[in-house]
Amino acid sequence: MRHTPLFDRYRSQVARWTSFAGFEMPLYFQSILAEHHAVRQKWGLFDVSHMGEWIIDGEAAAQLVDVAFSRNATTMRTGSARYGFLLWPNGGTVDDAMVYRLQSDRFLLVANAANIAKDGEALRRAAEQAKVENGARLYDRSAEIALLAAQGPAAIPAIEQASGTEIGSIRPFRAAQRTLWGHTVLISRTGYTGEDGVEIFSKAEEAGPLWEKLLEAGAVPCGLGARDTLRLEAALPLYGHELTDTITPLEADLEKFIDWDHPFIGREALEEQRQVGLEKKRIGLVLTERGIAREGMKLYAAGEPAGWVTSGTQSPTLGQSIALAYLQCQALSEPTGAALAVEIRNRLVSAQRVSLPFVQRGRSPVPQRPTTQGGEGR
Amino acid sequence: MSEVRDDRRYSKEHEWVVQEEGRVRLGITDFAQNELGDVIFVELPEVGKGFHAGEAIGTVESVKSVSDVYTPISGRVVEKNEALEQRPELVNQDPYGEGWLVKIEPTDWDQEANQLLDAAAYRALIGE
Repeated sequence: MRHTPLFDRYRSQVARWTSFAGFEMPLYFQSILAEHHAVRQKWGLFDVSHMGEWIIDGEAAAQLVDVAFSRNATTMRTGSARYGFLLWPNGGTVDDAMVYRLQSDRFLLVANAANIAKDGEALRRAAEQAKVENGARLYDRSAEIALLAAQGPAAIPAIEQASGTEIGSIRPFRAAQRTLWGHTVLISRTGYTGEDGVEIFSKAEEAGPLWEKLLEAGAVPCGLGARDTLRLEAALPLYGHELTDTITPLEADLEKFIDWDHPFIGREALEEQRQVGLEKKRIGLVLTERGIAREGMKLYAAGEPAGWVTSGTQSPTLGQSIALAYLQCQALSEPTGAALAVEIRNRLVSAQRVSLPFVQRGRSPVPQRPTTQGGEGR
Repeated sequence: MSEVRDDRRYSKEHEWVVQEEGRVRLGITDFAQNELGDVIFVELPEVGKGFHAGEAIGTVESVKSVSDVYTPISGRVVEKNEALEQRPELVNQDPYGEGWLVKIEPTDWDQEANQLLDAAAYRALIGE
C-alpha cells in the first residue's frame, strides 16, 4: 500500500482508513458527518496528495494539451485552470482532470490517482497525433508534489489571517504562486466540495509543516469519506463511478466542459453521439421512500429496468436520500413521465428525478423539486 | 475502547440481547456501532413478524457500509424502535439504551440465551 507524504504526520489521528487507488488514505479522522458539516459550515482540510501531476512543457505544449484535452488549451490565459476530459477515440473517458496553464509554454494536468499512467499514455498519443516531435516534454511529478485542499466558507479568511498572506484575490479557476509560512506554493481557487476554498500545491517535503499550520489556523482534518459525500451533494462526478472508459462526457451531462472550437481526440465520436442521440444520461435522484441507494443498484422506470445507480448516500446537508444514476434516454423521453424506483435489497423504492447539483455553497440551490420527465433538468 | 455491559448477552455478530418482562430487547453493540461509523439509516422488520435465531431481521447502514442485523433469539417482533426512523444516530450515541432496535417475544429464550456470550466472553471476542 502506498502512502502520501503526510501519512506519518496524521497517522495517529485517523479513526478509520480506506484504500483508494493503491493508497492507504484516511476515511475519517473523527466522523464522516462531522467532517462534512465542518466543510459546509466552516472549513476543512483534505490531504489529496495521492492525485497525480503531469507537467507538459515546451514550445508545443499548448498544441499537445489542445489535442489531448476537451478544453481549448490555446486560448487559456497564464494562471488559469480548466476542468475537462481526456478521451478515447470512441468518446469514452480516459480521465477527468484539471489543467492549469502555468506559463505560456508550461501546463499542469492534475490526474486521478488511479489514472496517472493511463493519462500519460493518452498524453503521448496526443503528442504523436499533434506531431509536436521534440517541441513538448512530459514529466510525471506525482511523487514530488503534495496537494492539500482547504475547503469551506471560512477557509480563505482563516488562511489569510493565520498566515498574513493575501489569497482572496485569486479568482475561481485561477491559480497563483504565494508564500505561506515561508513555503512557496501554488494556490488554486478550486475544489471538489461545492464550497469556496483553495487547493494548495507544494513540494512533498513541505506538506507536513503546511498541514500543521493549516490545522493551527482552525481547519478540521477531513478524510475521503466526507470528500465523497460533499462532492456527491455538489453532483461532481467521481471517475470510476459517474465517468468511466465507456461513459462519454455527454452522457455524464458535462457538455459545458467541452470546447467545440478546437480539435481533440474523441471529438468526432462525441459529435456523432450528439447527432445520433444519447442512449443513457446521468441524472440526479431523491428517494421519496425510506432507503439508501448504493452504487450498482438497478434503476427502474415504469417497472422496467432502465439504468443503474453510480453513487448514493443520505445527504447530510439536506437530510434526504440522494443518488446519481444513469437512466436510459428512452425512459427519459416518455411523455407522461415514468415513475422511477431503485431496487434496494429486492424491493422497489420510489425516487424522483431532481435538478443538479443537490447542494451548492451550503444549501439547496432551488427548492428540491422533481424535474419534468424529458426536461433538461437544469 | 468499546463499552460492554454486564447485564446482557452477546452474539458473535455483535448484537446484544437483554430480557425484560418476558420480552427480549435487541440492539447492536458499542463495538459494532464504532466499527460502522455514522449510522444514517436503519431498516427494521414489521411488528408481528416471526424469525428464527440466526436470521437477518434488518439492516444498519452507515455512510460507507451496509450491515445486516441478525437475531440470535427466535420469536416474534412485538415492537420496533420508531425513533430510529428520524434519528438513526441514536445507534451511535446510545447503542445499549435509546439506540435499541427491536423487542422480541421469544419462543425458546432459555435454550438460546445459554448459547450466547456473556460480557466476559464478548470482551474477549473483541479483544478487550
